[in-house]
Amino acid sequence: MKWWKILSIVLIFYALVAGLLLRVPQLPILEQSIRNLYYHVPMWFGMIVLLIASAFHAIKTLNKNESNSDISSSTYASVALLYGSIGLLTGMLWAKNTWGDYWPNDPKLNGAAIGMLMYAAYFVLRSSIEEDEKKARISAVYNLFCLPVFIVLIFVLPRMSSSLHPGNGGNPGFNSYDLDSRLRMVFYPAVVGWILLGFWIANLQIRVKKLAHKKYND
Amino acid sequence: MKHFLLNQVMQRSSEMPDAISNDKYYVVIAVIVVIFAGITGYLISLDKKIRDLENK
Repeated sequence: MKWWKILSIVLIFYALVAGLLLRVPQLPILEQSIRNLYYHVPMWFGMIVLLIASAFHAIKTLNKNESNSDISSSTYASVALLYGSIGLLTGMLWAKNTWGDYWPNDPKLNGAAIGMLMYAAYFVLRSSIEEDEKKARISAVYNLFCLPVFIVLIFVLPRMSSSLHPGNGGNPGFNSYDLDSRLRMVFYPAVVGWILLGFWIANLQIRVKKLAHKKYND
Repeated sequence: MKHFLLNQVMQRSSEMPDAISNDKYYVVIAVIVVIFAGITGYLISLDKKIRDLENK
């Protein structure tokens, strides 16, 4: 087994246990729910890194015209969507208990939802094209269009209006919490661990798809 | 404002309800660890099965 898969298990175990055991700063409204920083936020970090990997393989698809990089590209996008869905659901639970509503009218939430729909459309687009090479090229182009729009939707636009999320609009960034080294000690390992786990899940799926592709073409 | 928050934080951490020292809090952590151990065990076995297929 690859070293990074083991690292991912170790880091996530550490983050799960230490995230519940270590003391956290007591912040108004958030109270103990600040611990969600270790579980909810890594989902979004993971999603973004997976989407970047997906776009990277989309470029490779266009450059080299290999079916293998199309398989990688679409699989990373699908695991990214899984992470994003979990991020939305956990965020809704957290929002209900701190901001008072499952879906407060927040630009970051709406941006994330639009971005997820764009990537959902990516899969609709893929399933609508039968010829493999055409499917690979068209969806790669659409993928490369989606990533910058997604980044703008969740990182740029929320900063230009007010958002409940820290680091946006008039709110302080995570800095104000992050300055607390106790949070950092769990948060960073959690982010790395969950990103690696996402790559592991994608890796399994990619290998199965490549095997199937090989078998189908033989 | 920053001072207010800082005060708030310091005051609260001194009188923080100590959830961690409550009995049976560890049980929850143990359950979470077992669940995640199951999931990773499953992933590892899946990884191995795929590797066997690739080597065939």
